[in-house]
Amino acid sequence: MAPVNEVYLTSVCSGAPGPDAATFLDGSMTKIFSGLLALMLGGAGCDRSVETDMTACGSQGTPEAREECRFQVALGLGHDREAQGMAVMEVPEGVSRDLVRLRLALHDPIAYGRLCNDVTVREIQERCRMVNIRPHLMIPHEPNTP
Amino acid sequence: MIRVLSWAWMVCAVGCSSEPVVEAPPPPLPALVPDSLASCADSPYPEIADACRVRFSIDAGLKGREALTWESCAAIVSPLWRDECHFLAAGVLGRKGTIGKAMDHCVAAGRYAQNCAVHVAWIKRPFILKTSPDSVTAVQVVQESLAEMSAESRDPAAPEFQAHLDVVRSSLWFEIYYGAGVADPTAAQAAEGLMRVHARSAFAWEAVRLEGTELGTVELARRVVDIWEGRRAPSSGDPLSRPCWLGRNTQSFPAGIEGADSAAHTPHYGTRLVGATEEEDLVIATLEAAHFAPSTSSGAFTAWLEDPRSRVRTTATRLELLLSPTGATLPASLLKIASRWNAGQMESMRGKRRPFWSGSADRAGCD
Repeated sequence: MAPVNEVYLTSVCSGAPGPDAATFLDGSMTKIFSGLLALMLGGAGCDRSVETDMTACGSQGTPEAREECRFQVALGLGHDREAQGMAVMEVPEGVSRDLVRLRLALHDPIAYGRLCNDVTVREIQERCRMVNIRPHLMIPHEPNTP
Repeated sequence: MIRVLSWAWMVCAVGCSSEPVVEAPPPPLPALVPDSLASCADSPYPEIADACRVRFSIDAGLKGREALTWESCAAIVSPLWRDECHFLAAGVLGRKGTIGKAMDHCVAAGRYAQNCAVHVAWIKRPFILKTSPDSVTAVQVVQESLAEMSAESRDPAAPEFQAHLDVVRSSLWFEIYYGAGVADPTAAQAAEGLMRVHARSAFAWEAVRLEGTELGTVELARRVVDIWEGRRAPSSGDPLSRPCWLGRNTQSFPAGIEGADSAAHTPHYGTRLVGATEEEDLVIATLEAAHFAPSTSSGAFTAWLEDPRSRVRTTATRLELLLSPTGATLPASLLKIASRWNAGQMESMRGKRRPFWSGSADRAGCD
């Protein structure tokens, strides 16, 4: 497998202040600063809600947690295709965006298999073939076994 | 305070800007063709780990390592992907010529089991085409295929295996007749027992295709019976190549309906009732064949709703229900029959818009 070595970009606006900022603050100052910062960031459109806001996932501590957060946010939108499509588009980086699509398609091909049609990253397209070339996966199952 | 505000301003100037920063890459995906089954568990994403196990199973099948295909499929967490793993492993092992081992995987394929059995039968098509509807050798060719599957199976006597073998039996006969360009009953009449039921079905499918559904089901049934009994020459016309085969799926008769226990499988993911006499069975097979034809529409079976033979009435009712649009007003004679069915049975009979059954995903050049 070729390594995924594209540049991964995101806006810090999607997350909390980085650890570098926090190290400058002692305990008493942290509380004051955090409250003030939250007020300012909120007013500046940096409001975030971890469970529903895709951009907030960028603040997760590890890449695994960040990707899981994005997957869960998209999954939480259920079958609202429009909202889901918009949420996926909020993922700032192409590989991560396509990873959400692939995971959704594999998780429930009937509901999300179509998302594989939007995948552009070659490595992920290859894995989406498992869904794309097997149309029966996208048909609701009826108890019809012999 | 000024110092605090300065800090806040400075952090927000960075934090709230739209300038991008580098995001660490997601954990790498497993290799497209994994080296080992254990390596699939390295993926932090359960869906991708399962997909990895499916790929490993396919690769194991291609290398003839049958035991590993079972091990990989069993390691899959998602029930859907476990079923799909067995379906895919069956395809790989079947194409390698181990058709009985393929059938064992089909039996384990859960929701895709029937679909899988039909596909395994398709793999036998080159062998099946050694015979034709006008040859008594057809019975032998089908029997040899079924015997080969049973001989290779881990547990050929298991009821599940036998049930899937019945799907294959119906599919093999369908492959012999459908699209052949001639509905000669010679091959089917050489068959006996359950084999004869499937052979009659296949004969009727091709006869209906060649005669044309515009005749109406009453005339079609009369012609099919006449051909079978030698009062009319076999239907003939243009052959239809397999990629152009197209028809409606059916579904299994729900338990509790009279005759459902002895219903025969069809290659189109369902079952059909078996008539008490050969003529009655030919009528039922004709009605099922007419339903398969995409040109048949609602109302095609109403003439049979008051037939004196109960299984003909039940078949007509079921097929009419399958074709009736949701919310459509149903004939009183149909409702009279259907009133004996409970809500669950009725629901499973109602028409569901399902994809058509086709001989190939690529229908380029077909009508």
